[in-house]
Amino acid sequence: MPNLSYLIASKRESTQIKSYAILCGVLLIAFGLFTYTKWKEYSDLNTIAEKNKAYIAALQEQGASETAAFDTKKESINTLKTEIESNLTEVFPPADAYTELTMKFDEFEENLSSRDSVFEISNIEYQNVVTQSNYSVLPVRMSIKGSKENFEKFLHYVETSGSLAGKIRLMDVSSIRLNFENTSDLSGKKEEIINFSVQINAYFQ
Amino acid sequence: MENSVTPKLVNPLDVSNEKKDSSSDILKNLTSSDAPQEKLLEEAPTIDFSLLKDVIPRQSLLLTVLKYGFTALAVAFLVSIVFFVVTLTDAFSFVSSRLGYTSLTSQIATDNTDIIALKTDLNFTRYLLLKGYLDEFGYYGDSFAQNYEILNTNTASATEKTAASEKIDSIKPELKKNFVAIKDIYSKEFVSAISTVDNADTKALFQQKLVDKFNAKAVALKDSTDPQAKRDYKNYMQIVALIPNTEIKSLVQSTDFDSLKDEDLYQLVNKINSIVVNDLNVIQQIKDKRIKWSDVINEINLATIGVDSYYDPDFYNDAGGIRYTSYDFDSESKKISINGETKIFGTTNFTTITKLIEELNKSALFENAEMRSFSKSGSLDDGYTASLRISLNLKDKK
Repeated sequence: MPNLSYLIASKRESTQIKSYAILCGVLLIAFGLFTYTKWKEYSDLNTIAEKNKAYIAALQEQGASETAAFDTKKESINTLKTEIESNLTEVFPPADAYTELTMKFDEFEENLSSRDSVFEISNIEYQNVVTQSNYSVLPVRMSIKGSKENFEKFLHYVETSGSLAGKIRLMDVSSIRLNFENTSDLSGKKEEIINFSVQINAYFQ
Repeated sequence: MENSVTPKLVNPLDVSNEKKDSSSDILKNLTSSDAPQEKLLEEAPTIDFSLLKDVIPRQSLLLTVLKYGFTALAVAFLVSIVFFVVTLTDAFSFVSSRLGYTSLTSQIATDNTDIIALKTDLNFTRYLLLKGYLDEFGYYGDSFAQNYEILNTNTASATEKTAASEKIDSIKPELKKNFVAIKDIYSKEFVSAISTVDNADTKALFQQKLVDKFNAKAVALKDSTDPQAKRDYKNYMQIVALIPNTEIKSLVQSTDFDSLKDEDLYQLVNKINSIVVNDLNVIQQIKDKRIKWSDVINEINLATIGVDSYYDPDFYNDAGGIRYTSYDFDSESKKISINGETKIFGTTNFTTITKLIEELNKSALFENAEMRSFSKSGSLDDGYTASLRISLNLKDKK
């Protein structure tokens, strides 16, 4: 007849088998889940790493190609910038440059004025500079007498100013007071003479 | 369980003798003797079976397998943990770095840093190129706009208009070339997907990196007195303002250059020059606010002709009609005052004036034209003369 110790040992062994079986099962599941999850993560990261590697190589190639394209264009960009800067000093000067502006008005008057078609600037008066956030304004009051044709040319001169290609100081007409009078020239031909007082804003940086 | 039965133990030599004894009578007789039988061996040892009470049962194979299996699994699990921790995290970086091994996470982080740096470098070059094309477009566009204005103004001569038209034709291909280049750059991808950053944040990330790069480049040149360095500094700062400008990008991408008429192109040039921060930007802003008084004078003349079809100051004395003696324009208040007189060989001077007021109010340029006091003098023979004093406002630009 089996003794008690033997029975206990047998029972213990049986329990051990069950316990080990359960532990093995749990461990296997945990191991499986862990490995599966991590392997997936590893696999994803590996794919990302591979893609990154290829992308970095492509970026390096693209960078070299586009830098070469820029280097080709760089010289013409710098040339244009120099030209813009040069023209800008006339169109939108860094200071009020009233002396240059006065000379420009004189030059304009000289070009327009003739015996047949009057254009006389009788007065130029520069007022105090007004500073705005992005630019400054030099107000100029002028008294001019001119034919209708020359008055229109003067308006055209001011209205098309500020173009880099034209190199004319950026200006606009703030106010005009026109007085019309009719005169006759020596040939008896009637010419409309306009006396105008004009307030101009000349802009600078 | 059989082991627990206690068998009767006998000396094997004794057992053999007994067997001989019973095997055959002949042999029995031959070997029989009356002498007392002498035992060859001593008594067999007695086994104490109580000792076997503490013997454990033999270990089962299954248990052994399970034990080894468990150990193997545990070891494999441990190896797996170590492998994935080393591969996927930086927990053992102090060891792995000595062995020259980089974890995948670190590798990806390094790759991402490289991608951000390379893409930022690429974007840096692209924006330099983009700004170059935009400046060029602005420069040619400025010339185009000036010539377009000459072509459409009343104050330019026919010769000037012809020259302007020719200039426009020569500028348009340059504008197109630059516009196409700008559109091409804007069609490129300025953002790369980064595995560790949400897609929603990558745009902001790359934008910030690019701004930082331009700022860093600009700071290095800030105090330089070299003209080229000054130019570059200004350019970098203007690009910093251009980077977050989505308006220009949308405008360029939504515009089909080939379908633009001159007027549309004029609008496009002005729009681009007003939203791109460059040297022309401030100039364009001032130009946009500028009032073309020649157009205003022309509009007044057109309104006058609508009332007085023979409007001409030269015929006023003989034929009557309307004559202006002064205009007063103020761009700040946008107020206009027109002074003059009407001469009618009849009595309807006031009707003429009110018709002129109505005509001026119909104009797209003016509003609030009015004259509240009417007076005239003269006779039916010499005609009546009424003074004209109309005040009106310029409508706001839309």
